Amino acid sequence: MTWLTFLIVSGIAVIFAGGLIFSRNAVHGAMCLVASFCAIATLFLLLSAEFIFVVQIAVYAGAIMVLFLFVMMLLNVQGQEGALAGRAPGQLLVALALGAALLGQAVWLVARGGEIISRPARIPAGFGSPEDIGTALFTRNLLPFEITSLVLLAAMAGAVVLARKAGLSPKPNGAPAGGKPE
Amino acid sequence: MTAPSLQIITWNLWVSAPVCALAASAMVTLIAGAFWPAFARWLTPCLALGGIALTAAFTILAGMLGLPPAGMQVMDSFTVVFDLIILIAAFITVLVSNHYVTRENLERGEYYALMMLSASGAMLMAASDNYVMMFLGLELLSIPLYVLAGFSRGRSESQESALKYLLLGAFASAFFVFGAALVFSATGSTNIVVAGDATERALVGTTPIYVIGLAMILTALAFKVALVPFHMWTPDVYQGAPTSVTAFMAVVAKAAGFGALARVAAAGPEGSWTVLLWGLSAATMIWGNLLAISQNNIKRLLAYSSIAHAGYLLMGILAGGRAGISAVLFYLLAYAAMTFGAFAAVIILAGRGDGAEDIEDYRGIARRSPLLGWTMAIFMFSLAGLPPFAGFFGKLYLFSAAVEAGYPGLTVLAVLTSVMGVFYYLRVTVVMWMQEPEAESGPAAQTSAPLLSRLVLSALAVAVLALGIFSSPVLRWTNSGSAGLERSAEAAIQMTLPEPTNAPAALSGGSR
Amino acid sequence: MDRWVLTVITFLPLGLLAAVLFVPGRRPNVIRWLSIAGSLVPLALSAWLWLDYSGGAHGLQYAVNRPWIPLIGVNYHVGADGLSVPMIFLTTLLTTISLIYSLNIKERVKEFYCLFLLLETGMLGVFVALDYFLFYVFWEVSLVPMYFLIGIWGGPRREYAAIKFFLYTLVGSVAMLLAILAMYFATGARTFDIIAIAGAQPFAGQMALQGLVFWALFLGFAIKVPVWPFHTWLPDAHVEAPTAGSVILAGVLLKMGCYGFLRIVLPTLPEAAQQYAVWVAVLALISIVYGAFVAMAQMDFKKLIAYSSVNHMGYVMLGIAAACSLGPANLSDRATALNGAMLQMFSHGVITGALFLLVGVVYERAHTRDLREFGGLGAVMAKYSVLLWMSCFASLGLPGMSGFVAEFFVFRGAFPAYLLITCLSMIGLVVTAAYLLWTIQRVLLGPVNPKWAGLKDMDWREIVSVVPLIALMILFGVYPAPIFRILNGYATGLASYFVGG
Repeated sequence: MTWLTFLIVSGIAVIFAGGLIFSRNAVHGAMCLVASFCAIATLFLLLSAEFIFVVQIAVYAGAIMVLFLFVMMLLNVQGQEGALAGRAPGQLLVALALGAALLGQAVWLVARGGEIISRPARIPAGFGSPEDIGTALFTRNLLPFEITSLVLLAAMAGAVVLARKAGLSPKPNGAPAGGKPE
Repeated sequence: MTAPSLQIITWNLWVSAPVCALAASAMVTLIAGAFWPAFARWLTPCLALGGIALTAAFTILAGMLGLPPAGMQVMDSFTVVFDLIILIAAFITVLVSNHYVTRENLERGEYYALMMLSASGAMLMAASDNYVMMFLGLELLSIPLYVLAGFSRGRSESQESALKYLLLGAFASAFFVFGAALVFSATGSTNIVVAGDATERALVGTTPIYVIGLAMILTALAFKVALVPFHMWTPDVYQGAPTSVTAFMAVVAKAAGFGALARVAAAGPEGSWTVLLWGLSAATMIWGNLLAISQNNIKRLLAYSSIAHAGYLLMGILAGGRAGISAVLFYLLAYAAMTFGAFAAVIILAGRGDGAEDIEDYRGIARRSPLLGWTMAIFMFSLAGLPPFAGFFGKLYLFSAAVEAGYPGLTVLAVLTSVMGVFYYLRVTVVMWMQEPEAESGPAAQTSAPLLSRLVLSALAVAVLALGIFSSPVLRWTNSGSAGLERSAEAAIQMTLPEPTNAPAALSGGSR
Repeated sequence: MDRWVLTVITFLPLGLLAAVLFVPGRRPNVIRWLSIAGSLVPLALSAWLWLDYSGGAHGLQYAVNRPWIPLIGVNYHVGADGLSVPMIFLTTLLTTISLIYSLNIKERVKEFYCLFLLLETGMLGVFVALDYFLFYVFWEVSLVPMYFLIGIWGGPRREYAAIKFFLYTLVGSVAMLLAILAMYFATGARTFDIIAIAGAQPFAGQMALQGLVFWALFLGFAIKVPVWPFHTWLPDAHVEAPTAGSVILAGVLLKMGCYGFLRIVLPTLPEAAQQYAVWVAVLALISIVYGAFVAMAQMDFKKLIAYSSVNHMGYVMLGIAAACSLGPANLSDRATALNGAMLQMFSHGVITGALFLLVGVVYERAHTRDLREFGGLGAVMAKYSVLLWMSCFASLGLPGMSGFVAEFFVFRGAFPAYLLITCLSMIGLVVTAAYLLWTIQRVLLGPVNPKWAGLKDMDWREIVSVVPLIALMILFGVYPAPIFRILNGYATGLASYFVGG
């Protein structure tokens, strides 16, 4: 049963992730992303990690997506037709071939390591509970946790740099393309 | 589950002291630049230099304490040697940047702060013995670099470069996370050495997943150090980014990737790992040198040359062991000196607005500025691997380590491709020395530079020469670094850290 | 002091370079005379070396052995024996002469003299180094300044010639580097010492591997010599190089190739050398005959001299091949061949140096080197005429000149080993005589071309440059004992490797 749910939910996540990439309309893409995030949150639920499920919904599907949509509306991003045009002719083929290789790899992985992937996960009691996460974050993983704040600081400073109007250059039209905050 | 008892932090804070010092200095620089913009021009670089020097002092001090691994970060002699290489590179970057930043109107406090944050990420990567930590180091290295690449707001090439780097870099990071997850699922540990050891204990059936995970991590790192076929971004990004950032990228990002690779390699993955590295190294050497021949833009040429050098460096990782890693460290140092030298000259020669970046623009420069002529010739010959410069000695150590480790075929290939490399380095000297300068009125390259730039240029040239001729003490030093790497790998296995089976850390750390 | 004399000789030009760097470029005369005066010191020291050297079998003297990079077993090991002492003297002599002759360089004087001094250190280093690593470093150091000398002060096609010279030589030296690494790892003693590795005989009995290493080293040195078919860089480099560059190129750099055979290949890989000697001899024969015939066909004076170098260096290679031949030749035959080869190295350096200087003299006046346009210069330039006569006679092997002694020894030594090859290479001797006499006729004899009637005779600078070389040709032609005293010890020692094998 769990196995079936897992397949369905992860399938949804993958399909919507694909939708995000292929949709020409930015808002549609954002909605696909929301759906994908929700599906991933469901996966956490399957692991009986309710806390992470809530966090995933609240932070990613909620806060961050709202921010994305705000930015899009403020900038009034239009669907950029022909973004895929003008590529090298062989590129699609190469990409397809590489994608097929990756898929094959995954299939082979499932086939070869089948018993490990399908092995019923031994989830320890209390996995994903707030206490568990708190303990992990603030004891063993305190250092990575603190370093994350550095990464965020760097991203923030970078976003400020890129978003600020260019000092002396007359045309501030260098859109904050690279300035997506993490 | 019983109520968890909160454990007190068990590691010695000295382990993280260098990274903390550098990050703190970066913050100070950031704040100083924001609050006193009037003084930013000289205050921020001075603060940056001071912070880097302070960090170096902390690194040396921490190294002398002989600390045990902290479970996430290691402060062994490898870390010390590597951190000092990164800090030296960062120091030179600040010096080299000064002239460029002033000329191109990029004077903002954030420039130096971002650079220092990026350097602390590089230090973190090489100091981590855990994939989680390594990933954070990778991000801390990369995110400021994405921004720095686009720092020249007025130039669309710079914007394009930043976007390209960001998209592909994020893609590579995803590979790293996925790889780390696979390794964790195969071995139940995110510790690099312990994960490597778990497969040695031969849990039947886990090996393919571990190998695929490792291959994905390798892919991400190969992207960072620009190995063929993950090099496509390099020429465009190097060309578009502000030149001082390109120099930083070419040295520090590459060094960080190799530091991480050395850590991963020290865990002793065998078999298909060596085959992969062999192939990557061979392809990189051949393709990098081949494409460099047809370049006309000096920054693109240096980009392809940096790709080729990554191939040589990978030989050292492949050879492994004390000699191999020591050769990698030595070569990184030599590579830093000559690459910075070349870019420093490019910065001076390009003139305002980076106008003259084609090799043809350098016609007869040596006649107008003997200093630029001599130093550029030294850097080019060193990059080409001619004695008595550092590049030759570095290559020789790499090659002899590779032969000793049983890769004579790859060594022959490396030697042949470096002959190929001589051709394009030689072209630069031909243009600079043997062709007649253009008429004074043309858009000819600049030769005037402030005193500081000229001093840095001369110092780097002397360093390239001295690193070659007096390489013995340096080699002993890097040897101590590679010995430290071996020791901590052994120590980590013996300690068999109590790794809990649950690991939400891996998930929350990589929630990108 | 004795022990450090080689170090002083080698690095003195480098110190001088540092001094010259600090002289401002607008004082060219200070730069010129400082360099010339400074270069007299190594010259005097190397002359002292010649007189002081006491000889004896494998008599290594003035050796210094200090660790340099102990982790991989590299030592600063220098020393001089019968093979290197004349080469050191030749190098310092030709450098001083070139510096004097180059007083007429007007452009970028500072760079010119700096590069020349760097070149001198590189060449001297090759001849004194007894450690492979050191040897290789100096080998490459001597390559770079010559590349710039050709590329900056050369003729119209200088870029092409410089790159061609550099890449050809580099391919060779890279092959050499691989061979050095192979020897290093095969010895397994963590040493780069040339003598220690030769003593260890790393490939004794492994013919396949030894053959591979032999041909790698052969490629490295044969390109430098140059042996046919690796000679194609030579005419281009010579024609485009400035006069002083040609003098050093022909006089010293080519000798480095032969030196490599004698110092490294023969002692370290005697079995392979013996096995493949006949092929080396055949290539030498082709070089001799081909070089002579192609020289005859040249209309460019300088190119003619360049091809005559291919021809003359063939004799050296013939002597070397004969010394390690498989045949029944006895010790004295082999030693004779080696003595001849080594004397030919010295003598060719002196003779060709003089010839290139003389070509330069006439080119600077007439601005052409086309032999068809000259004629009757003997009547216009008397001193020039005498010096050219003597140099050409020395080059074609007239008895009484050093070239004759050297070639005679080579033929005498090679005769028992390779009867047919030696006889065939006599053709080269005849053709050499023919083209040199024909050259003299075209340049000096015949009716005076009115175009050249006003040419000035040689001035003191040119005479000072050429006369010492002529004096040496005659000295060793008439009385070669002083040089054989030095050469013979090494020749006999080396020849004894191959007797009864």
